[in-house]
Amino acid sequence: MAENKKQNFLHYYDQFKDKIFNYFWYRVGFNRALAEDLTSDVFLKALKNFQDFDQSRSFQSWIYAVAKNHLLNHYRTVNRETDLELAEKLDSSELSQIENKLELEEIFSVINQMENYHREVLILRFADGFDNKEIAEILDKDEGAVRTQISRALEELRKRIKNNT
Amino acid sequence: MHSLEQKLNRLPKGKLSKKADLLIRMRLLRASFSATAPKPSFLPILKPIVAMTLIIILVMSAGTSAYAYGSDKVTRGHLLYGLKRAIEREEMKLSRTPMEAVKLHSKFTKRRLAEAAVLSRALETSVAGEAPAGTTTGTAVKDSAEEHLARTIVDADESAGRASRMSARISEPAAAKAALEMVAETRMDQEEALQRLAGTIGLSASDETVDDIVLELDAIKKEKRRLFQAIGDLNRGKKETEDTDVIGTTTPGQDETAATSTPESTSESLKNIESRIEAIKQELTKQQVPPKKIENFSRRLEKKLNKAKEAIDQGKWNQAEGLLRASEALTNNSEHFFREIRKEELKDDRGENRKGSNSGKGSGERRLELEIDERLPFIEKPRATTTGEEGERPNGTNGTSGQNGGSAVTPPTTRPEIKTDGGERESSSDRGSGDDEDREGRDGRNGDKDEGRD
Repeated sequence: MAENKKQNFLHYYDQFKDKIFNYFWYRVGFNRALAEDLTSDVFLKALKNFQDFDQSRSFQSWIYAVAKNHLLNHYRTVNRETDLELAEKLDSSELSQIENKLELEEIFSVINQMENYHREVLILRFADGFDNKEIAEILDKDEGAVRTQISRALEELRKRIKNNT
Repeated sequence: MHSLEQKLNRLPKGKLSKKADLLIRMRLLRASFSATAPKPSFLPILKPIVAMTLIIILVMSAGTSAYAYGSDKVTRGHLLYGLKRAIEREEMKLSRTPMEAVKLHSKFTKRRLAEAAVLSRALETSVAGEAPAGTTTGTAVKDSAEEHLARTIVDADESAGRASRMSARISEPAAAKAALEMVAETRMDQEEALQRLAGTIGLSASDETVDDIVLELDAIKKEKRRLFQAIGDLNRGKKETEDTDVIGTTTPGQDETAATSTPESTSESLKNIESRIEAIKQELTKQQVPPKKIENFSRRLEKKLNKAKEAIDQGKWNQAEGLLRASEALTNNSEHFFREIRKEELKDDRGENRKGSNSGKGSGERRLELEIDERLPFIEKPRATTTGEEGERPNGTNGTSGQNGGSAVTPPTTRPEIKTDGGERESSSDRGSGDDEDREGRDGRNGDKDEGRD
């Protein structure tokens, strides 16, 4: 039976629901309702195409690819810029309790100014909480290259913050 | 450097709210039912989770559900019966393999049989006098109890049938054999329970209830033969795909040959049954059954036969066939309705397997082996056989009703030529038992080959 060979879709959902939500949450200005809707859409899309999913692939990289494409489509729909942007203003009430909110706002504003690839790896690494190997799978890059890029991105971020202060 | 990384590591991690999680699950569930959704990979996990949640909630709530689920006294007509069946349905959803489904259906069959026993005692009480039968109330109570009993008997058979069908889906030989043995055991439990039921309610129950029981008993005997044959085939390493396809797909009580009734066959059946009635009456008298009961029995049969004659006269062959089949089933299983005979049978029964117990718990396997030993002409036995009396004798030592319809005093060759039984006899002959014709009132299973023994 197919289900004996494949991990059940719901198990994948349980495993990645928070991660995908967090992915969208950081990329739609911490708008919870929107992030939840986008999360729902992604998993529905994934379910629809699950039978075509190659089990030899990483589900994580696959679902994130779906999420990324869906986010791009969303931005096109709402006539936003196609680049992934972070909210510079943490206006969401959910973040109001964060102690280092001002610090985070500063960091986000700097990150937004960085080049896309550096920005993306930083967010994947620190906001989404992926390790280098996972980031490599998602971006379809070599792990060593990802490690290098994260180092460079951190270095750049540090310099920009220093320059801003 | 580290300070920056530490700050970045403290970035908050968003989590899906429970409400959103539930909504998404519902959407996924809905989507999975659509044509484009990949059902097999999704539902098997969602359903058990929902089912398990429901079971946990139901079973843990205030003991009511636990009582409903576990008590045999919660039968059809009881307030909690719907809850009991709902819990069972959810439990069934948790089964992931055909073998688990077989076990569950077998368990549910036993439950239904236990409920039927409770209902039969209630029916006996209502007939005996707690609610006078002559009054409207008494009749209503009796009718209600009978209806519940009849439906419970059907439910038990449906569960057993589902167990049979699920066992046919198991391809691995060892597992298939284990499943078939379980199904056979369930059928034997069903047979014993119906025999006890017959003894409990006697012939005071309505024609419909009595017919339900005896037709069911006849059908179970046929089903058991098929199962034992399939088990034997598996033991011989032969894949009897045709038979396993047949097992469980034929509804006991239905007969594919009914459509081929002919005037000749029905007339012949009628004559055979009429001749058997006299023989049975003599046998019952010998067994010291009270004359009044014998009279009641023969009156019931004669009433049926008269209806059959009317149907024959009117050219309604199928109706006549049905009436004759019911009549024959009643003659086949008449002794179960007479407690006087049944007491003697119970004394003769071997071991504790048959003494009023619903199933041979703990010795079920031995019981099954003995059944295979003693009942099947077409399965070779590697060692000396038991006597026919032991194997057959829930039905009475004198073979008042043969498994295939032969009576103690009437040679098997005078059995009605209803194909359902003729087919069985043919199959046993084909297997080369050779002993059928010599055994009165039995299938000639004794002293026959039993290749199926492990």
